[in-house]
Amino acid sequence: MQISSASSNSHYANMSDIRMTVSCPPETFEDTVPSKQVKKEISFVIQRPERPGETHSHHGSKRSSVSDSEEYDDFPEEETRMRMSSSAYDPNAHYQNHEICDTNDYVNNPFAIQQLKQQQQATSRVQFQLDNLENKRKKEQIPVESNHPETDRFGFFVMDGLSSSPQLDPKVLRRREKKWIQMLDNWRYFMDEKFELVKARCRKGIPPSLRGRAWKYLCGATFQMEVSANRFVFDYCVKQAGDPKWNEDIQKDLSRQFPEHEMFARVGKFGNNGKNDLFDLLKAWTVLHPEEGYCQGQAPIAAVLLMHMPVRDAFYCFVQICHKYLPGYYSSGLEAVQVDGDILVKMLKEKSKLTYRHFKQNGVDPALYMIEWFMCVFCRTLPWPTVLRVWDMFLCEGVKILFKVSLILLKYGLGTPSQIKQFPDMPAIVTRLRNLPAEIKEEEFIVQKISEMTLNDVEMEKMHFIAMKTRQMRFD
Amino acid sequence: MGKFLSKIFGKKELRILMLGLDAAGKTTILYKLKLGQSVTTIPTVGFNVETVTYKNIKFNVWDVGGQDKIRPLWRHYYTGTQALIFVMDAADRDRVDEARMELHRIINDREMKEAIILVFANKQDLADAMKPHEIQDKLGLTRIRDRNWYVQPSCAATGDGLHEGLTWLSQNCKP
Repeated sequence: MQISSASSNSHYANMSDIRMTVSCPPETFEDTVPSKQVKKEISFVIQRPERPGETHSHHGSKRSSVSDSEEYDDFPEEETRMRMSSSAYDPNAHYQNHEICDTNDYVNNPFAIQQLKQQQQATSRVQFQLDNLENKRKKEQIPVESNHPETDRFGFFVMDGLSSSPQLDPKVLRRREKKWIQMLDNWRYFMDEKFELVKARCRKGIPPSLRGRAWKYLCGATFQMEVSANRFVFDYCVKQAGDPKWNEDIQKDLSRQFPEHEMFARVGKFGNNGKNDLFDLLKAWTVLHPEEGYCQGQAPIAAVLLMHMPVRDAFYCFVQICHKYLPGYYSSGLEAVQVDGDILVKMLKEKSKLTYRHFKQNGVDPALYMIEWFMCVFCRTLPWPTVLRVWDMFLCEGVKILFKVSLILLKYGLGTPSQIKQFPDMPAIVTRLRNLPAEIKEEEFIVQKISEMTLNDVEMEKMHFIAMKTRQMRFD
Repeated sequence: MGKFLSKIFGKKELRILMLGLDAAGKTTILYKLKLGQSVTTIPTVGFNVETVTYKNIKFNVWDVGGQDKIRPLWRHYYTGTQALIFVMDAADRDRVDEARMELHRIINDREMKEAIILVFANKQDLADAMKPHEIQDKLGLTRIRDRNWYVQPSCAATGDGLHEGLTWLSQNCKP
């Protein structure tokens, strides 16, 4: 058993030890051609060695470990600005690129009056509809475009008979957009001086038009892809053939991610583009981490990112999530995510004693409910508007948000004496957790409860330490 | 009341654990049994669970994700299992060895000692699919004499063989 080495703690520490090697060091930025510099062995450079006293596990305040403003410390500001504006590398190119990619506007047009659907029930029906469509097309030779099914504002196919989602007042939205643009233009200042404001705005929800860009800033991907020595990692990795074993694993899953979304649908305008990007992104990851490879929990994460940004941007966000937010979650043994399961149980004892006791009496292990929640960052559990709000907060505040959302779902889904009576044994509990009532998955409800709940960073660190030690003792 | 009635009429309830390598067709089988339709599935991270009633027996079927990365989670589902359904992609000759090792690892686990073993030799619609006797050999089942096992050819997409499998389970499982 490789318990200790697979733990998130040591994994993270290891990450900072790796110095290396793809592409050129920052000093040679202006005039070198990356391909000449590329050595065979590659990995992600962690620019800044950890400081003493800095939180080691991913449970600490996200601010200290993730904000890219801290990362910028390695570069004097002026130098950074000069580099950023050098003609060799135009950061805006990606935004332009982004805009071009988004001309279909499935995300960026918040004003489109379209219907929202209940995704869970829809999946199978969509496929029937699509299968029919495919057959029909074969028979009648209808071009795909003319028959593209209607989608909602998130790009999911619209099913009939579904309620429309509440839309934000356009005036409010425009006001928020302005604030966010100002904030993104002065990112370093806001992260250093006004982090509480950034956090509050993330909790209110990032405007859809700026979500992709804001996510990149929040997780530090912007720094990685534009300034850091890692900026060529994607270009290098994506050109490699990749390990056939991992490629095959990834291929098998490509047509099975969000099949009800137009980017990943089996038929339709963008289905193939989305799947190709998904392949490139995941393959690039396995080139970066040939030992660790691809885990099935990763494809949904990558797909959500690709719905909001071009593949290169998505790759850097993805790497940040896997390295910094959820270190070790997708490594063999899945120790890190199981440690977090143990921590969640401890918190449950504190926040919802009835649920805790009920689970304990019926032998409901955290692995029975939290694995998919945490590994997929709730993107398969919650309705889509809520997923995006949770991601906004997650990328700002870190893994803490996943604990909070879990505790809310458990407390309000299975926390009262009557609920406990209604779901008395393990099969009933598990079924309940997979069919939680819609009202507790509503975005406003969840965000409200998140704001009301406090989780102490120091306590979390302690729990993390204890959970890891307990595991080690159990397996030694 | 329900428990009382089921005691009188002897309605059996079985806890079934369905495992196998990734993309073998576990989730497709589960929903084919449950809904009678083949649905588009997504790779299982974690698990799916459904209750299927067949011939007056309630089967609680647990379908757990099969990618090698997430196999360490399998053991969480062992406790209380009465029957194991091991799903094989019968056309995937390259991974027969891997399947054999995983199968033996499962059935040798202390918590799985009592479970009877049903193997679905799935994807029989593919041209190159191995037949049950070949699978039985390659999975090393022929040598196993102290366990009750059976290999059932199946095709999840059409549903062929699935109910035959449940029938075998119902006849061989002690409640």
